[in-house]
Amino acid sequence: MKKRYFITIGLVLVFSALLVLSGCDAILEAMFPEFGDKQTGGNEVWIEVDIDPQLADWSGEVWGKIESANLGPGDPDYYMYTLSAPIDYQYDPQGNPVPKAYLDFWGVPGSQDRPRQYKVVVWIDQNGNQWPDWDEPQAPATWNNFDENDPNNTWMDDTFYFPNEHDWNTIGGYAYLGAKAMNLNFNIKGGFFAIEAGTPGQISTYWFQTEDPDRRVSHVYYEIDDMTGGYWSAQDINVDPPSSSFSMDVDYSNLPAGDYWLYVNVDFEDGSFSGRRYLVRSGTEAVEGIYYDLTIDVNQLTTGPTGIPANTDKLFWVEIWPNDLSGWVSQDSQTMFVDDTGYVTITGLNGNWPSLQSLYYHSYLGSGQDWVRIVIDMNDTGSIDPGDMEAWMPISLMSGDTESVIGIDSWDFYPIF
Amino acid sequence: MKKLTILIVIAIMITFVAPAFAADQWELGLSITPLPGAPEGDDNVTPGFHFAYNWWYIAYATWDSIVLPPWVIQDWTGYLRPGFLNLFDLGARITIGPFLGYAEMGINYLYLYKQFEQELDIPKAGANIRVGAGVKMGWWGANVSLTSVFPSFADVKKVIGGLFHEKTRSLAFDAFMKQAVPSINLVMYF
Repeated sequence: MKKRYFITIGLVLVFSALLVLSGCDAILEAMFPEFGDKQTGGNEVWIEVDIDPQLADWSGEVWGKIESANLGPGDPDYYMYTLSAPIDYQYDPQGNPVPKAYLDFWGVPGSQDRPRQYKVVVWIDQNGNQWPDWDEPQAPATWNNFDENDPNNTWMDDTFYFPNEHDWNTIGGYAYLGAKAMNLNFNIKGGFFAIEAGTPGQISTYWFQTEDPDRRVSHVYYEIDDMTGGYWSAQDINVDPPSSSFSMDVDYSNLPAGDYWLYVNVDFEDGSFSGRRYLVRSGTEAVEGIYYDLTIDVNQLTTGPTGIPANTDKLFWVEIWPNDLSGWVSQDSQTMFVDDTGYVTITGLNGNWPSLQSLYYHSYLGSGQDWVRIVIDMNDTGSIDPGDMEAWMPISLMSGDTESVIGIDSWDFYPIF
Repeated sequence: MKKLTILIVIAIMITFVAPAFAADQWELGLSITPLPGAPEGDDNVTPGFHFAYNWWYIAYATWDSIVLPPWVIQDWTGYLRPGFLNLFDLGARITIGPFLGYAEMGINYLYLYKQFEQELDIPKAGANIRVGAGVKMGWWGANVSLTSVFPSFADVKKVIGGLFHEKTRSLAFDAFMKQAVPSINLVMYF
């Protein structure tokens, strides 16, 4: 009796372990057919990544994201996943460091019946969020696609697709992570950032534009969150064909009164990624002709993208721009002390920042003052130039406002190229 | 298909060996768990599998495997892929007539799709407390359970300890309820 008892328990445990370790995938593939290799096998993309030794932080991991080319998350054929690999320390014959990493993507869907195309982007994940952020070194991967018209066979294709001749196909790709940052900056303008609260059909149309006209966007995801991070709404927008400037609608229907962040995340055509946020206020919008004071609280400047050493003097500029971003209408500059908390407050009330004092508001409908731009002289040249960092925030006022406070942090700043 | 065969073989095997331990009882079942906060268009309920053994009329060991859709896994780990939350628990089950109740604690083990093949780096196992009550009608039954999932055993210890002290009871109860996930379970007994 006892022997049979233990044999049975043993068998059950062995089968259970088998189920946990491998059987699960079959169940998951049956329930989530967009994952797995139901399309006859699946494919492999491996990427060799060379890393510039000058990169300040190359001690961590290299991450890679493979994602359907020109398909958004709403498409049933859309596929994406990320993985990481440690940096491999190699040395050239002269003894110079040659940091490398190898990323191996397995089980990528694709078959003769359902051919697929992918983009791959690699990055160094400096903030640990396992996602490519605009301030992290990132690069698209390419592969040496055979082209019979190219006698030297030098065509490096940044779209990955499989010959689908076998159940399992492999492509070897390459990426170079350089210390020089790519210009992934963009902005949206021309739309409303002051929203009439609780109104159905409130749709604002923005003009989206990348700073680098050669960098085209294939997909936009926006999300509206309240100030505590609570989700209100979101939408995916596929940009087909990819473009560097286009109009996009944001739906603010029935948005309750309050302050919100509009997060705009974009995938570029080459697989790289960027995102930024905009302050949106919902209420009864102020009519034209009110005067108000503006205060900007800037937090965490000693960390994140700005990373200003604690207890440092830095020159700041504050500019007010009209809604069409055609050029600043007023500008102040001042040296500020960034202490070890990384907090700086810029307020029109103390009289040091005249551009923020008693601003006259014209509202978005007019040609008034609708944006504030803050620039930090990161390279200490005394002028605004490449290498400095800037943050853009729309000013939107509600009826009864006499003072408006905008709170931003290090991650709202972007490099000037 | 091969994997499905394994499942069927396990089920048949249990059916054959169960009578050898008449005083004891095996359970196989399915569960439904709501997933609050699901993005629009994503699943807001998820199925699970239940496997348990009851012996000495009171001792109770269970393995519950809850299917987690990609959005939950991405929320927890950053990886966009489906997975399983495995709950391995040990505790007591009391049956009075057709009614039963149980309380258990154990470890959680998160499995992600192709986790081993792709050597994914995911959080370590956590711990959980589970209570449940329901009815048993011969060879089948239904019950409702509340499972509170914590990152470690230390957290579970704190909550259980807190429940036994008057001053901390309401705090501990709040902590349990805050993490609690309800499930409806349909169970077959062998």
